[in-house]
Amino acid sequence: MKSNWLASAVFVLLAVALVVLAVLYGMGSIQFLTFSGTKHAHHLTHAIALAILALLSLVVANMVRPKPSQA
Amino acid sequence: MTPLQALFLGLLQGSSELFPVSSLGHAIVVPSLLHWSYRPTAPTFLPFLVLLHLGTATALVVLYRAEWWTIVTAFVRAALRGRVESSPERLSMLLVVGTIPAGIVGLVLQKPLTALFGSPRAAATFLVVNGGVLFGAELLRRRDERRRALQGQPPIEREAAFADIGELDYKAAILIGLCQALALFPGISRSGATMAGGLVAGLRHEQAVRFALLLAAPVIAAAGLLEVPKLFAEPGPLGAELGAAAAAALAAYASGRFLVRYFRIGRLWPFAWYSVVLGAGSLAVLR
Repeated sequence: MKSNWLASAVFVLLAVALVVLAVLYGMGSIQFLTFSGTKHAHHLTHAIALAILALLSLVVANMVRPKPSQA
Repeated sequence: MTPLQALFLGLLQGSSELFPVSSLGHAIVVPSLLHWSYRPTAPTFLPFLVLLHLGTATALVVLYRAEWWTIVTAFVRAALRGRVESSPERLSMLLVVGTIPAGIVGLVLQKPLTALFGSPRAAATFLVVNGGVLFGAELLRRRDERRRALQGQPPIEREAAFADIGELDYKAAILIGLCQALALFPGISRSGATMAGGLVAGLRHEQAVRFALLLAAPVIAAAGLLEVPKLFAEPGPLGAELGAAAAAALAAYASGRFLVRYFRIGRLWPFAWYSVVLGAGSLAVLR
């Protein structure tokens, strides 16, 4: 994977946005992604899915970040 | 729903999930064509769909079990090191960057789109669109073959001129991942959209189906797991449903194996025609 500061920054921002959404879902503050189903459990599963996506975004961000040896 | 209907739907879902013909479109259109009395979008039907999806995801993981083990371990190695050093590590990262956009779009838009377009006529219309997407991908491939002067060559040699997954770049993986999101419209096939994306990105048919099936497993599994709480929220007998899930798993496994063999030299044309004929026929019949 080619190193790229811009791509790394985009993935970090994406991860931050996903973490914020995950926290809001976990707290039950927002629910626009879920229309039906059981209340708390459903929000929690969405929060977990968003947190996993955030983690994956951070992994990709770290992967595309230029390393000191490449600078 | 009778046990026989459940079994039929299990087989239908398992086979149509991996074939590029839209399982959700079939789950909505076929019961209406058969005048079955339940609504596939009803909340009581959801736990059943969850089980079918989990069955299909299990089949996908079993189909590529050795490869998945390699991919997962390669991903962990590359993530800890912060650098990609081998082909399996690169493949794992391609799958991750392809899954992120599909996951986000799926989480945000699945419910609204299913609610908006969950009617049999809408699903039939999107089945026609699905056929159009498959036709379009094959026509673009045919144009590519003309440009490379491959027409008239044996199918195997024609296919060999195109790329395998290892040559895919990350932008293409993201775009193919976004193609998966088209499957949120009931009637558009997930595997069809990702295969079309793969072909447009220059993959061989066999590699496009392999990437589509690998990319589908985490999304289908996650979609199923997200809905697991509904299994416990909606009371009801589980015997027939579990049997249907097993049938879905077997059908998905068999259709996955068939597709991998078929696309060594096969094309998307039959699936495109099937989608158009089923969609247009359903539109004519469903009033």
